[in-house]
Amino acid sequence: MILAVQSVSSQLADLALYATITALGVSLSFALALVGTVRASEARRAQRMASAVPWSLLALLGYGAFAALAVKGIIVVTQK
Amino acid sequence: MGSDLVLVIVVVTALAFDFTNGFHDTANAVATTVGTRALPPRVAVAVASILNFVGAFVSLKVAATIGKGIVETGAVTPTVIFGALIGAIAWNLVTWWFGLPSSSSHALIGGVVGSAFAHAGSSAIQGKGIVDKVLVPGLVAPVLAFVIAGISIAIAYLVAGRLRPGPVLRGYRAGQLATSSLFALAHGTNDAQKTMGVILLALIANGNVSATADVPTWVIIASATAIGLGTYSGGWRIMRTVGTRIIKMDPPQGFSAQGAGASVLFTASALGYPLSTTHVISGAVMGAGAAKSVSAVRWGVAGNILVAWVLTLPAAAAIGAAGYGFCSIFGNGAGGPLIVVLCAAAFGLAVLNRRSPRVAARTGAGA
Repeated sequence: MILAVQSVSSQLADLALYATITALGVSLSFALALVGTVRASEARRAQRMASAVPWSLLALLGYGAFAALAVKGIIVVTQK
Repeated sequence: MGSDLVLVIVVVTALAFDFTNGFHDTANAVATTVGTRALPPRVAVAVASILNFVGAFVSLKVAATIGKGIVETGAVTPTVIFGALIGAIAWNLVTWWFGLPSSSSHALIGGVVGSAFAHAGSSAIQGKGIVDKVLVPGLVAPVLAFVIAGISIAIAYLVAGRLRPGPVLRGYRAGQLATSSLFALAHGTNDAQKTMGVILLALIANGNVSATADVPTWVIIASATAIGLGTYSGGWRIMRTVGTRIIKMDPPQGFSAQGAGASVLFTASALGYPLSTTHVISGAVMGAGAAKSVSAVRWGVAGNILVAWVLTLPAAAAIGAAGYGFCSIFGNGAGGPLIVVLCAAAFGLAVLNRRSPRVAARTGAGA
């Protein structure tokens, strides 16, 4: 009985930890992608190309991380 | 012949349950998308419907597990399964009528428990399975999704909150297309499997296939079609509740609720922990609202949803037991199930007939 409770508690702790990390990854990557997109667009409009490049890079990284998490999600649901 | 007729009735009833499961749970995937106007309602349900259909073909592992660990397998007969389905369908329709999102899986489990109890008594019920598969996940799913969605929206506001609102709102609306599609796919891989499992169980109980048989192709196609059509028909009452009545949602909140919900759901899938998509998305929507302002959540609506969740198992069990009890009056043959199906069909037609003039008078969807 004690072993069963410990097993469930450990599973729940894993679920809470990994789900939180994943959700933070989703939220942060997409927010950073939006910041990069908007700032890069503003910099291009103001003809500040040197500033546009790092913002575009941030947007690419953000979208890349978000896409990677989405693909991981698809793999998880299709292989369960 | 008699038992074959029972089997046919069980299969048709299982597909009817699958249909109600589809329209009852449409809201899980698309309510936030529709609520924030990321997609027009009809387009949103069409996309969700296709992904539910596709999801049904993707994984078949869940199909064999329905009822496992909940009731003794020896207590399962086609009539018990029929009673269980009646309990689940009835509870799905009641909660849909009141616009309350509740778990179709828990309703089905409740139906199985009630029907098996009426058939074989308390010895047929495995209490530990109910605690592990219903009660604990029922507590964990909404609480976890609530907290994580709250943290997610805080991050979204912190990082992107100082930007011009126009492009940010457009961006989050676009992001919702991805998160809502993931939700719909996950729903298809989970919920259509349950109907496949129910039909497979009935085929095994009736001796049509062996206990180790794979799910027949026609069962997969029929289940996928039923859940796809159910999703496309759209459960607008529940969608209104989740999408607009719990909180007045902005696109970042919609994205955070779905992103957090999908993260909880997929992590739970990866760990082999069964969670209800309904509980997850409802908890996440409340969390995304409460993180902005506690008073932003209509706690009265949230309370009604909570009551529906608490009642799901006992109510579906009671209806399932009554359904089985009624059928058993007519013996083990097809008489009881046939009478129940005919009565349900007559009731459904009467309701449709009464509603049709009002529905025709409206411009929007009324379901």
